[in-house]
Order: sequence, then structure tokens, then C-alpha cells
Amino acid sequence: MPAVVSDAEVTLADVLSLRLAVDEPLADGTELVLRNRATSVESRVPLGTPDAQTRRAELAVSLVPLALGPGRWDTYLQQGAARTRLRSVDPGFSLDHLDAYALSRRTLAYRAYRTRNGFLALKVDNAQPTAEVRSVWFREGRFEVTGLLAFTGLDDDEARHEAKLALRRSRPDAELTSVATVQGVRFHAALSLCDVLAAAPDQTGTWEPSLEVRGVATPLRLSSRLDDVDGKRRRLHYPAAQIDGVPIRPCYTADDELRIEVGG
Amino acid sequence: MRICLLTPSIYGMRGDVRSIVNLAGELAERHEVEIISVRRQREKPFFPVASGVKLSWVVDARPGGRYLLPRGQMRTEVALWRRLRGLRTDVLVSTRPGLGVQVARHAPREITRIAREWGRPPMPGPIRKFYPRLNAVAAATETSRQEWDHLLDGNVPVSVIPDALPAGPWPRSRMDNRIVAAGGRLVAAKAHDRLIRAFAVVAGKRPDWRLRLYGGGPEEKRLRALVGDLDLHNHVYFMGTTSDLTGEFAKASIVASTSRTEVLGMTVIEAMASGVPVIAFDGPRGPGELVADGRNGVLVAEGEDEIEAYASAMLALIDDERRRRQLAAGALEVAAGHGASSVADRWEKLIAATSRRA
Repeated sequence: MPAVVSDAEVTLADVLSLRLAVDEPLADGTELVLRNRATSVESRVPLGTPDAQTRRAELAVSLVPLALGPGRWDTYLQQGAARTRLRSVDPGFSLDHLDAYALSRRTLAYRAYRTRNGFLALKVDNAQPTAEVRSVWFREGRFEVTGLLAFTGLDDDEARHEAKLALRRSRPDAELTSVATVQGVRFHAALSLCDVLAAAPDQTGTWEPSLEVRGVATPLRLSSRLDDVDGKRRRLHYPAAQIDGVPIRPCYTADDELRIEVGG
Repeated sequence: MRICLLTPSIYGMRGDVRSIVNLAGELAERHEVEIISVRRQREKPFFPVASGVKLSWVVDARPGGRYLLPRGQMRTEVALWRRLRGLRTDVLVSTRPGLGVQVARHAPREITRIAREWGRPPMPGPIRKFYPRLNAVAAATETSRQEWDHLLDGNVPVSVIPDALPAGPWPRSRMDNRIVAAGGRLVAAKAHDRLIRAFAVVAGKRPDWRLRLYGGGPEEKRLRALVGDLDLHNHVYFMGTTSDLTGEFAKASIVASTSRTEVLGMTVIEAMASGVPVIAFDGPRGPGELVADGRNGVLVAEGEDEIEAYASAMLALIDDERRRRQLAAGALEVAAGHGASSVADRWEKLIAATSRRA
């Protein structure tokens, strides 16, 4: 019963929508099985009564009632005792759609994708409001960052929101803030690098930036996770700026959060 | 039938290795297939090899090993000679001119011996002397076939067999991500610096497009420095190596190739299979043999102002989604000719014809 997914997407309403090409029409009682790769927990969805003639099938599975936990879930079709893993020719997402998906406030974010071996899988992540970084610049002695707010529930309109960029470090503790611009969900923030050096003179260390937006309860961490590229620390190298002979460089942590390294 | 493929190493990340692994996987569905690596440098091959294919090696060159005899060319040649003398197989395919010469000299005559060639003949003397002992030569492209035919002067039949893609279904691009992708080892011959310079022009005009470079190699540090100099650090992603290049190409809308000479063009074929148009330079031995300008990709003339010409070709394709889709449809037609089963059929026919002659 080989089945190939030609279209896969998790819609804005958290519905997994699939278009399948099957060699034999699906039998009555076929189930879609989602299996957690780490814990082997399974979730089964009966597919209703399929059309006995057709070799193309369209499925829509609502994911919220399945209560899938965070992790990666492999997909199978089960007919009686026979189980087939779903092959996929579709990358499973588009970057623009991921941006649109992140406009709503969510606690879990679902994403369909094609594995390296060519199978369909589902990635479930805990979603919390963040500031998604799109560009970072060191210009005219300032650190500038632009991007968009994700999972905050704010509308993508022209409305301006009051916001500030905060930079914090520990040992010795220090904090710096500056006014940021947030219009709709797009943000732009800048901070003088001289102020960064002056806040903790002669100290090397790492600063954690965050964005505080009026109307959003928690400060937003600056990170870059709304795409398929994991491990940006290795893949994106930002150039260092020299201020009074001290190198300052933005970089990502292992889990793709933005940091600013001073010295070293 | 028992088929042996002799290669310098199946453990690396190269286009020819990908092509051999694909072919071996398909032939293993119908025959007993073994890949013999002259040197084994790693524990596992970079590309996944089909379960039916047997792997063996002549010299173990894995780091950390302790050996009785010193390493080196002499030891390798003696070991290869011993292996070839005692080889029991029906067909032996060599995949480098150097190995082809050794096969012609030392492999038993009852074996059907075929040389698989991609580039131009590198050492005319030994090839003219020893290749006539082989049963056939299989070139990858028509230009290459003509060169080998000319050199061998009709003493050995030379035919064209294209490279094989992995068994389908191949991933398909939706053309909706603003990504230009490029794949290949980061070495000077691939001229990724030309691509980065051209992309600097594109990023200035279409700042929401990104360039993803897949692969690794000695040029990486220099290319990263170039990206820093051109202020492209937000636009160029060094994605590292991947065993699923077609899957990554399927996330892009354009695949760029800026090689000076691309004798193999496996990445070009893989891009076409993902339904993504290719932009390449039109050189005498470049991807021009695979890409037809305006039908399944775009070719840019080399020479003065080549970077500007390449950038404007990219911009034209970025701005014209309809043309991208048309070219992608043409690319899929070309890729169909590289399907694993049709390529394996052609190998079987060649083997049958040469063994009859023998």
C-alpha cells in the first residue's frame, strides 16, 4: 500500500492537511498513525469512509484534540495489520506561511516537514511569545536588529506599540535599555555599543537582549527559530565590531537565541 | 549477474560518489552488486547506500588505525593488484582513468571490464596503451564521449550513459520560498566567490531573498570572510553538508551553479529533479551540457562583466515567477532521463552487448 504525500501543510487552525497519491484505494477502517520518535507514544486517527474508487485522497486532521506533546512525530497509514510509513515529495511548509502561523498566540506550534530519508513527519514545539530576528547590523557604532514578533497575538497592521530593547548581563550584573520601534508585528531596535562598553567597563562577557512591548505580558527573547534552519551559531557568522579595541560580536546560542559577546 | 564497481573511495561527499551509490542501489534490485573502495577513510559512507549493496575496501585508511606496513602509494598499488588478480565477478566497472588502467592491466580477461568516465582523458599515454584491453568505455556526456572516442581511435566502443538520480519519488519545490540554493564542495573550482559577489547585487535590490550554500571544504573560511566584507552576513547561510541535497533544493526557488568546469554536474541534475530551474555559466565543459538556456534553466556567458550578467539573470528569474515555473517544468523532463531505472537499463544493455562481443 505505498502512499506518497504530494501536499502537506499545518493550517492556521492547526489542521494537518494532506493530499495523498495511493497505489490502491484506501480501505474502510484505515487509520493515520502518529508516532513520537523519542517515546514511541502513538496517536491514531480513523480516516472515516474513503471513496473506494479514487487513488487520490485528501485528509484533514485536527491536531489539537490529539494532545501531541512536543517532539517529532512520524506518520504512518495503518490498514488492518499492515502499516506503511508515509513518503513525501513536499517540503511540508513555506517560510511565509510559518510567519503567518506565528501571528496568533499559541502554546504549541506544529510544523509538517519532509525528513532527510523522504518521509512525512510532524514537529511540535512549545511556543511562547518571542522576537524573531531577521537581520542584525553593526552600523555607525550601534547594534541594530530587525525582525518580527511571533506568537504574541498582536495584529500585523500599521498600529505602533510602545517598546524598549533591554540588554542584561550577570556577574557583574548590568542592564541597558533603549527605545525600540514596533509597528504591527515588525520591530526595529538599536543600541549604542559605547554604552554597552561603558555599562561594564573592562569586563568580558555575554549580554542577553530582550524586547519589552506594551500589551505583551512577558519580555520577549530575541531568537531565530521560525524557519527550518537549526544551529544558526554554526551557519550564520556575524562580523565583529571593534570599539576602543574591544571586539563585540553578535552570535546565537545552541538553541538559536541571540547574544552579544563582548571581548574574548 | 555479479557486478563490481571500483572507486577510489565511496566514503566521501562528491558528485561522482553520489552517482555511483545511486546506480549501485538500482542495480542491486536485479543483480549482486559490490562497491570496492580503494581506500576507506571513514566508518560509514557519507551517502546512504542501499541495503543490498555489498561494500568492501582494499586499504583501510581510517584515522587511528595501527598497521604493520607503512602507508602510501606503493602499498595501495600492491594491494589493488592482488585484489584485481583474485577478483571473481562477471562485470567490473572502474570509475577513474587511473583505476581503469590498473583494471586493464591486472583484472582477469574473462571479466567484462568497463571504464566509467566523466571528464576528459587526463593521461593519454597509458590510456592509449592499456584501454584497448577493456571491453567498453561509458562516458557521462556527449562531449566526453567524443573526446574518448577520438583518443582511443575506435579500439574500444565508447557509449554515453547519463548519471543516475536516486530512486524516486523526488521531492518537488513549491517555488514559494525566497531562497537561492547552491550545492557542492567549497573548493576553488566551484567558484562560489562569483556566486556570493553576484548575490551581493541581488541582496541590494531584493533584500528578502537568502542564499543557502550546501557543502563544506577548504574554501569555507575565505568565503565566510568574503561574506563579511560584502556585508551579506544576514543573507548567506553556510548550511554545511547534507546527504539529502534534492530535499534541500526543493525548499528553494532557484539553484545557482557558478563552477568554472563542471565535468559531472550531479548537483545540476539533482536540482532539476526537484523541479527548480538552474542558473549556470556557459563554459565549454560546464553545466551547459545539461542545461538548455530558456528551456530548463538559464546560461550566462563567461567573460568581462560576468558577475553583473549573472546577477541580472538571477534578478530576472526572481521577478518572474511564471518563467521560473516554466523552466522548472522543462527541468523535470530532463531529470526523467536520469531516472535510476532507465539508467540501470542502459547499463544492462551495454553489459549484454559487450559480453556478447567478448
